[in-house]
Amino acid sequence: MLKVVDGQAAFPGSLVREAATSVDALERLCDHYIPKIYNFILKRVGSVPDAEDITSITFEKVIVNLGSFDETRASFTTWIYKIAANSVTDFYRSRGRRKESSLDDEVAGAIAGDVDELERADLYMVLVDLMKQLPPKYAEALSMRYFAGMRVQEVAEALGITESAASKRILRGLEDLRKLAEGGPLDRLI
Amino acid sequence: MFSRRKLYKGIGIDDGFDENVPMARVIRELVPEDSKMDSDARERMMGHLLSVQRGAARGPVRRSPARRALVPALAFALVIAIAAAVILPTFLGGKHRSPAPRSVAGFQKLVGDVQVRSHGATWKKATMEDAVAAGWSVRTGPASFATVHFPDGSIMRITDGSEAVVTRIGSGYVSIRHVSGSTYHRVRKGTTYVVTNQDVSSRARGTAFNVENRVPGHLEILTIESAVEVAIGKLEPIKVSQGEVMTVTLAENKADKQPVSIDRLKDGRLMSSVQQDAEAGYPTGVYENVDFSKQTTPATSPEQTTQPTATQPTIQLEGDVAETNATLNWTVSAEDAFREFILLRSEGSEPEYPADEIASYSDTSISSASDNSMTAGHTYQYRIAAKLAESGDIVYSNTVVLKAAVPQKQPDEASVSISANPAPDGINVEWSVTGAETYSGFEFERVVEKAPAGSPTPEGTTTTRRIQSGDVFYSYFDSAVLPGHTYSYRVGLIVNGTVMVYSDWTQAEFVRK
Repeated sequence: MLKVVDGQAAFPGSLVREAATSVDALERLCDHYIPKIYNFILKRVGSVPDAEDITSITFEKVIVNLGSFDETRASFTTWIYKIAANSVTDFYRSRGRRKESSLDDEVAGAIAGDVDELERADLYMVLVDLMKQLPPKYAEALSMRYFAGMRVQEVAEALGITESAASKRILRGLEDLRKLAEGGPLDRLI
Repeated sequence: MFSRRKLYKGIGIDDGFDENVPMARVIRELVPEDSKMDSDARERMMGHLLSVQRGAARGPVRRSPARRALVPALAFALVIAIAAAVILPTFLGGKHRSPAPRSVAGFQKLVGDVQVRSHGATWKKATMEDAVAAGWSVRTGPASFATVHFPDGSIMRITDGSEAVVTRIGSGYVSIRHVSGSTYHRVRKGTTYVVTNQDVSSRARGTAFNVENRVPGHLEILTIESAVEVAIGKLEPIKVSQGEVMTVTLAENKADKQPVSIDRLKDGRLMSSVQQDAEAGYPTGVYENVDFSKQTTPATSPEQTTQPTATQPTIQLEGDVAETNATLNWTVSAEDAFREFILLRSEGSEPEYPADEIASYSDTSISSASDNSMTAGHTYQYRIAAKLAESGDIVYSNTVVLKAAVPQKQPDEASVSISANPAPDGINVEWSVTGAETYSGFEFERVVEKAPAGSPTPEGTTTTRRIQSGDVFYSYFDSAVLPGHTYSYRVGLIVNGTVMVYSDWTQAEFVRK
C-alpha cells in the first residue's frame, strides 16, 4: 500500500503499475495526483502557465519511467514529488536563473482575498524570489516540506537521503533563506 | 537484506523539529491556499499524457534474427487465435465480449481538408488512423467534412468551415467545445454529452442535436431528436425539445426558443448529417414528421400536442429586455382567429397555461405587453397561450427567453488605458482606470500575435485570467514570454462579476537581451 501526503486516502499500488498501459488507471492516477503536484509546482514557481507546463512535463516523465519505479526504495508519492522537484530545477536551468519574477495573479488571488491582503501576496512573491536564489538541493527540501506539506521522512525518501540529513538540509535551507531575507520586506516578520 | 527505504525509517526525526524556527513560521504564514488548475489546461494536458502513454506502451521495435524467424509462425498462430476467438463463441452459443472502451475517439469519415491538433502541437492533416484524445482540436476547410466516433458510440459530425475541441472523453461522458461553424451530435443513450460555446452549455443524453454559430454573436441549438438542456452561464437549464431551436444572443441577455422552420430543416449541412444518421439506422426525429413540400411552416414536435398544425392559426412572439423591463410583441397569422391572449411567464421550465399566467387580454387587437416585475439577474421564459375563437382550444406561441440585467452603477464613460513595454526578462504591462469608482478587479487577456514556426505557443494562443484588485493603477509583469514572439494585451474592468469595459489592445515584442 502506498502512502500519500497529509494522510489522505492511499492510491492503490496496483493502479500505479497499470497506469503505464491502462487509460482508466492513468486517468485515476492523474485525478489523484495532478492537483497535488500542480499546487506544489505553482507555489514553487508562482506562475500559472509555468506551473501547467512543468506539471505536464512531470507527468510525462512519470509515464515514461513507470517501469523503473521501485516501490522498495520510495513510495510512489515521494517518487512523483521528486520528479516534480527535478522538473522545476530543470526548468529554471533551461531558462537561466532569474533574479526577478512575477507572482502569477492566480496565486496572488489565493492569498489576496481583499485589498488588505495584497501585502501578504507581495510578501509571498518576495519569498518565491528568494527561494529561487537558493541552491537547488535546499530549495527542493524546503518546497517539499512547506509547499507539499511532507513529513521529514517523506522528504528524506524523495531526496534519497536519511531523515537526519533531510532535517539538516531543511534547517540549512531555512537559515540561508533567512540570510537572503535580511534587510528586505520579509525581515520584519522573522 | 535491508532495503534503503527500511533503513531510512529506522532513524526517527521529530516532525516538529522546525516549529520554532522563525523562517519556517513565516513560510507557513505566507503559503497560499491550493488553487484549481484551469479545466481547459487540464483537459489539454490529459490528452497529451494519453498520447505519451500510447507512445511509451508501444516502445521502440527491435527484432533479433531469431525473433524475425518467429514472425511467420507467430502470424499463423495469431490468425488461428483470431479465428478461434470469433468462431468458437458462435459454436458454443456464448456472447461476443466487446473490448473495454478506450478514452480516445477515431475518425469514421474524412472528406476534403480536415486538420487535427493535439496539445501543444501545430495543425496537421487528419488521417483515419488518428486517435483523437481529450485536448485534440479538429477543424474542417471549405467543402470538407469529418465524423468523429467516440468509444461509447456517440458521434460528432463536423461540417465545412467548422472547428471543435474534444475536451473530455471517458466511460459514459463526452465533452466538446464548439469553436466555430456547425457540429452535429448523435449521442448514445446513457452517455452524458456536453457541448459548450463560451458560457453556453448544451447537455444531452441519448439524443441528436446541432450546434451552430455561423451568424456572429449568435449560437443556435437545434434538437433533432428527444431533448437537450441548454444552460446559459450559471442559470437554470432550459429544455429544448425535438423540433425546437434556441438562438442565444451571446453578448446580450436573451435567447429565443421556437419550433424550427421547414426552411431551416432544409439546410444542406443539417440534411447531410441527418441523412448519414438515417443511413446508419438511427431515427431522424423531427425529420420524420416534416412535409417538405410546405414552405416556411414551423416543424412540430410530437411532444408538443398543443402546437398549431398546418391548418391552425399561429402566433409568433418576440421579446426584448432593458434592465428589468421586458417588452413583448406578438403577431397572429389570422386576424379573428383568437378570442383571448394569455401571457405566460416562468423560471426554469417552459411556461404552461394556466399555471404560469401573468396577464390575459380579451381584446385581441392588443399585440404587445410589458413586464416590469422582473428580478435583476433572473432569467424568464415567456410565451402566449391563445384561445381559438371557435373551439376555445389553446394554441401556444414560440417561447422567448429573457434575462433581467443586473443594474450597473458605474458610469458609461469608465475606461481603461493600457501600455506594454518589453523588459529584459519579460513584458511589463501597466494600466489605469478612469471613470469607475468601485470594481472587483480585472480580466487580463493575452494573445500571441506573432510566433516563429514550431513555437510551443503558436499565433492565436490566448491566455485569460482574472485579477482581484481595487487599485486604479495596476501593473503586471508577464514573465511567461518567449523570444521572437509578439503579444497583444488588453484588460477588462470587472463590475458585478462581469467585464464592464475593455481597454484597447496594445502590442509588445519580446526580444531576450
